[in-house]
Amino acid sequence: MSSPNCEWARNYLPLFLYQELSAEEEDTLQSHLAVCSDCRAALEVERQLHQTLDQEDPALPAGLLNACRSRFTEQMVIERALPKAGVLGRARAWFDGLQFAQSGWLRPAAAMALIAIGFFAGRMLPHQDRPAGLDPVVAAVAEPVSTRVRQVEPAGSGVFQIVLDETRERVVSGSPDEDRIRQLLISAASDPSDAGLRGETIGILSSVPPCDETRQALLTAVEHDSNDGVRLRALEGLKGMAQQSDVRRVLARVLLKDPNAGVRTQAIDLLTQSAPNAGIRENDMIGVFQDLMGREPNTYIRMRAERQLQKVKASTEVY
Amino acid sequence: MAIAQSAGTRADEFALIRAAQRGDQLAFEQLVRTYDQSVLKLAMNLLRSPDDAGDVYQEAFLRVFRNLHSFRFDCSFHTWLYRIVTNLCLDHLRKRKVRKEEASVVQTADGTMDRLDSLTEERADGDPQRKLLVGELKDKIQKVLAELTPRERMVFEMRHYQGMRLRAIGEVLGTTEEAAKNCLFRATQKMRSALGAFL
Repeated sequence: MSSPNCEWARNYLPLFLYQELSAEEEDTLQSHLAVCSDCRAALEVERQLHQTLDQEDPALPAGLLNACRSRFTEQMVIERALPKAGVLGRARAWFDGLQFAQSGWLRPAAAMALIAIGFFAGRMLPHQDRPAGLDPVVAAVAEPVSTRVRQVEPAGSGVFQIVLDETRERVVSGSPDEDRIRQLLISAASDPSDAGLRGETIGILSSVPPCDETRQALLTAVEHDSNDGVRLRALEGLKGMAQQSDVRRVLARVLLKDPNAGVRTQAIDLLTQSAPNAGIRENDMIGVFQDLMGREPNTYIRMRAERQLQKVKASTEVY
Repeated sequence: MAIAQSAGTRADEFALIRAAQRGDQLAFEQLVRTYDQSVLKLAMNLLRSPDDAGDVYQEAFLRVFRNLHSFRFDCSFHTWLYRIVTNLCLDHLRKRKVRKEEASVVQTADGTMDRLDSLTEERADGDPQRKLLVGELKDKIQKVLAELTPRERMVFEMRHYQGMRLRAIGEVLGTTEEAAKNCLFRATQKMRSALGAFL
């Protein structure tokens, strides 16, 4: 080893070629390479290894991609047909698939399975045929999208009773002005499992004339949603309400606590939008901005707060 | 192939995924077309068998189709898709390790062929001795690739041939950037010690 750094440098050469070193690591390595001819030679060997491996990257065999696409398109036709066909249709499609199987012995087994599924489906169908109710907004009730076995119990004589939990899709439609639709939208806006759904729903709630419930949903989202995009959308929806005192209190908390600088910038925009020249006047808001000066890591937001405080001749220092 | 997305592209993809989740067939097909070539390439590079790579392609996009409704945007679609693909490939690789079936030949529509024969041999032109050396080197590369652990192989393929950043690879494999870095480090070390004499 020609210097204490050589072993370290050799280990980092591959990551250097992959551009995966931090700026600091790269600087250290470059400095070492500048003075160490052995490591420069080792870098050349590493480069050759990279180039050799590059040649090992084979092109896809001709026609493979198209063959895969065709096969997948055929599979999709079957997949899309299945939900519409219901339980019996699924079993039939599955059985039809087995007709192509080369193993002839599978067919009797499949026939037995089909009988079993037919019996099972027969037990289930009365529930599916139940009227969807009198709700005028219900447009369609779909097949179960997921089924989970919750409990299995022996019922004697080799028979088992299986309890299923099923999730069904139901399509409803209507205007956000309708109570029922609004309630569903508000519920979706707080669905913890789907940030995409929350973002879309908050976008819809932001675009309709506000009422107490939608306003509350936006305030909750802007302060508590875990997704930055959802909080930004909720802020958009609050633009027309930024003069209301309870909204301003929430915006102040967001400005002081939100981890995302973009959200905090939007919050300060809303808090100052009504008085761009005069500056904020409320005493409690001046306190918020002074507090912000002491804790805000973002230079731009600190500068905005400082300007506001200067406009109302309030101190920008934190004591 | 690096899959870098601008904010605009991400917004388009968001809309595409939402449409596909609502059952828009064209949107789903467009989503598949956006990624299917790189998915097939990764599977082909890892499994070295058009049949196996084709199976992974089918199974991966079928799983996407069946589970897209449960995709919650907690990670990027690319990460979600690659998690599916790498898990399928890892299963294949592990099964092969058990069966010790790692072969240097591939099955094509035209029959069995040694994929090493299709490699470029620029440096070997007109020099029989050099050609022999290059042939040996290719054999050695195949051997060392086959001897990497499935995870090292996966990280190496995604970094070297797919151009993915280690952070993204970590996300795909459900591990940290540091762990992916260590895997890549181990893989390159093994290759260097096996191939050093040829370079």
